[in-house]
Amino acid sequence: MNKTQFIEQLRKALSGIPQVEIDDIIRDQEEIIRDALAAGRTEESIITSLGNPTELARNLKAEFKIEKAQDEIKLGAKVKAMFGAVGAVLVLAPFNLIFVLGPMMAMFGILLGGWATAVAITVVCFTVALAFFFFTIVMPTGALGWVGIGFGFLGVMFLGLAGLGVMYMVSMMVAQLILRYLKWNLNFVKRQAGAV
Amino acid sequence: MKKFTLVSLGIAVACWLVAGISLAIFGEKGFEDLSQEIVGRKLIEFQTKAEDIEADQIKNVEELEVIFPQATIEILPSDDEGFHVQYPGTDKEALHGRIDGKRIRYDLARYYEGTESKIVVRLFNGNGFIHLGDSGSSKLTFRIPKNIKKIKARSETGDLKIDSINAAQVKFESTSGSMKIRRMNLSKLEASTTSGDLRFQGYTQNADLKTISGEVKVHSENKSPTMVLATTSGDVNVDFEEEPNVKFSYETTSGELTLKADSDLKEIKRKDMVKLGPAEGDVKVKTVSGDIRVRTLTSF
Repeated sequence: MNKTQFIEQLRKALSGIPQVEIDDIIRDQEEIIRDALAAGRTEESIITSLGNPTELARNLKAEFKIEKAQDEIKLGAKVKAMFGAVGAVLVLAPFNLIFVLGPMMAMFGILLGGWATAVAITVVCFTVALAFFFFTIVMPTGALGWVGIGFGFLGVMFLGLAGLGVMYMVSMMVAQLILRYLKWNLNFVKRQAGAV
Repeated sequence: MKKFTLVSLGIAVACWLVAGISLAIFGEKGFEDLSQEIVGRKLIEFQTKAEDIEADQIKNVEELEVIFPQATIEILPSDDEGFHVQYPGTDKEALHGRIDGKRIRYDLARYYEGTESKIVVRLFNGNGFIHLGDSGSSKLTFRIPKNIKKIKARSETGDLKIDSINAAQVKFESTSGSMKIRRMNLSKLEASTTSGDLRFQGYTQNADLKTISGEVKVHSENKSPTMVLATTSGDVNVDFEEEPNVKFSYETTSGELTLKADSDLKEIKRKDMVKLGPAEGDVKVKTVSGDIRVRTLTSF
């Protein structure tokens, strides 16, 4: 395979990521080849050392997706991009089904529980507080008591809202940790494949 | 998001402060009043109230009928031939009588009955009717004139107490209320209850006392009455002040029998008839598992 064929195959295999990114990657690879040729190596040996363009494209795509997810600021976009990165990493090696998917599902479950609890506390306490405020009309004898209890539940509702805020921050942290782990996993797979 | 979390926490603390202050002001008394209202019974200050009917307005009345769910009814003789009733009441509710020719009526909301010759007093708890204090402690005291000869009382759980009345007939029906009649001279006494006790002390020509699990206790000044005393699991005690002059029939399935009359101990069977003296009266006692005791007080 010559340089042109290599670049052609690499470009094809990189489809799926933005064209701008593809062009950047191709430019980087061409520069690597140029530098190696200038150092006196033959084109054939350079192409051989770069490896299979399809495999190289998979690694590069996974790397791109991990970096894209890490750059996201909003939680929703970050999680969406993170799932994309996980998908890209999973196809690199079969053992990733256990070492990536397993821990991810566990963390996801814990986070979901936390979110559900915070939402439930917020919604339930809001409803109960409203009910107690309503009692001040229905049973005015205990108006002050109802107001007191209502504000008590309102306080717990705001605690629930604060919990939602905490869950947001915790989820962002966990997402970043997962992405770091994915990056480590990617480097590990590369080392195993001898691509570095 | 950090700002949002901190603001939410701050508002939560502020809400709890408001809650604490409100509840502190509301206090224990507030919760007590509230729980009373929720349960449906207000904390009411009851006073002793009275209703009085003059003698000349009541002289044609011959019968008193009292229908009451839970209160204790006490009937005593009147001092002045008038009709008097004393009860715990409030400013808002009261028993009040209406006189309409020969008819005397006690009006309690929409529920009353009246005939030309009797007073009917219906007593209920709940809205629209008279509150008689705590259902476990409310008591009405009637003081009735001599012209009232018949007393009828019906209750669910309330007790009836009659003392020294000049009435001729008494009828009492109840579910779990008890009856206690003392120092009376009656021609007829009828009483039935499911779990209450029935006690009579005095003179009666005719008595029919029935209970399921309550006790029947008769202290008879009449040595030859006609009585039917029946209970399922309660005991029956009959004491005669003089040597009885009755045909005594008794039946019990598993209870104990004690028969002491004429100073003789009689042989005990489960079901038998014994003649005591010339046997002019007729006393029938029946129980399933209760004990029967018949004795003459002079024999001790």
